[in-house]
Amino acid sequence: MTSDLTSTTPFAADCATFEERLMAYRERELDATTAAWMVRHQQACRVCETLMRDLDALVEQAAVLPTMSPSRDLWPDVLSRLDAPVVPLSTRFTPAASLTTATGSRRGVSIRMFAVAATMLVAVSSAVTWQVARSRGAAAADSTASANLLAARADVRPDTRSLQPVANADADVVYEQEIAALRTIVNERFAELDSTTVAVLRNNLAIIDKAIADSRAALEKDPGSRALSSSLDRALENKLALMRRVSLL
Amino acid sequence: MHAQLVIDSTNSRSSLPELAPSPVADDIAAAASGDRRAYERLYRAHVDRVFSLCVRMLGDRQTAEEATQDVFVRVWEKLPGFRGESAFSTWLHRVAVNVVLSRRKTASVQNARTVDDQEAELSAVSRPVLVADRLDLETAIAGLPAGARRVFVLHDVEGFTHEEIGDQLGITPGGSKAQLHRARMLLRAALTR
Repeated sequence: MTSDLTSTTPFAADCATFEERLMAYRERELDATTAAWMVRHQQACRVCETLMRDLDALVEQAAVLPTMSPSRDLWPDVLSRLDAPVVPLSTRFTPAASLTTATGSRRGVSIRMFAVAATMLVAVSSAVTWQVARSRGAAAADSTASANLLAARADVRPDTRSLQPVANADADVVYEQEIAALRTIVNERFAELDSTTVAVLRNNLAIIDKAIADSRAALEKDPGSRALSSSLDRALENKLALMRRVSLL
Repeated sequence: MHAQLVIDSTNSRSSLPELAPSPVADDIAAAASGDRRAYERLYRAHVDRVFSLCVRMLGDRQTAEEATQDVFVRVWEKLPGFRGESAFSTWLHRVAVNVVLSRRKTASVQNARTVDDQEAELSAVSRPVLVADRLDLETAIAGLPAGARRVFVLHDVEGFTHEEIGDQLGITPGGSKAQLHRARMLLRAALTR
């Protein structure tokens, strides 16, 4: 192996050889003979000697880089996330229960980066729902967005058939607003979760979406059906619950 | 002719692997039981080291501050399971690395660093001289391609072995060595320009 490393080798080629073997040389993976050639070349070649010294200096300086501080005190933000309340989830919802992956800690549902955002979304959508309900003289909204959404749909459903599709549409808009807001968070969580979990979650969402589509299609044919309206409510509520749960994973 | 690499070395750092003061065992136990004051003391003792790791691994201070928060939220969640088999700071450090590595998969991080390795490599190599007599290693590290930067930070800054890095990053020790060599050569090129 060393016969080609004699002094008859052109100097530029020696430097190229030196660089080619530099990683192994620095990792001490070369055989003794080749390593000895590297040492000889380094001693004879100012360029390669400088290269070695530069790398040595770089390693030395990297090892003593100072610690850095954040631009501000992050503790209040951390603390707020430790204190973030658990977002209420529908107790009726069953598909996601089998998908729960990380909610077994003693603190209950994991407090993650999206907990606050999800909680805020619930609050915002509650307010929207309350306004929808109030505009139709409904009672004050319930404590959760889910309950409010259901109440909104129930309360705004008038006795007159002619107005019923409009009322249902209003409630659907509220649902869709919250679903749309949660979708961004869910997509971000999907990017972080393992592919198997994501596949299961996507499959469940697809099942729920099909139920929503089927219910809507049926309601178009029979807008006055309370059974179909309830079915749509449940499907939308299930979707919201699953999305909230995903946002907290 | 290569210019000699000279880096301002006025700063100092505690020795590895325990860069931060050892936390009081009582604080760890109390925090594990839900004591936020005890946890705040642990946070104060370690936040700079965690932030330093995050900013060097991610190459961006804003993203690093977000990641640092994530780390301490994650640690809070995991603390009840910490059994003291390793030093707290070592365990914390490993959690931090995992958080950083998980963040790189998110869309936000990908959007923040849209350049691919090849583009980033060109960026590092073609970086203009910042100040002739004051070479900025931190900036050069931030300009490295993501893969090379992570290995360089973990190996040369944080002191992990290639085997440990391979486990954490899902690459072979040989791959880690290759990335490290590439990072060093790119840094040298950037700093001696």
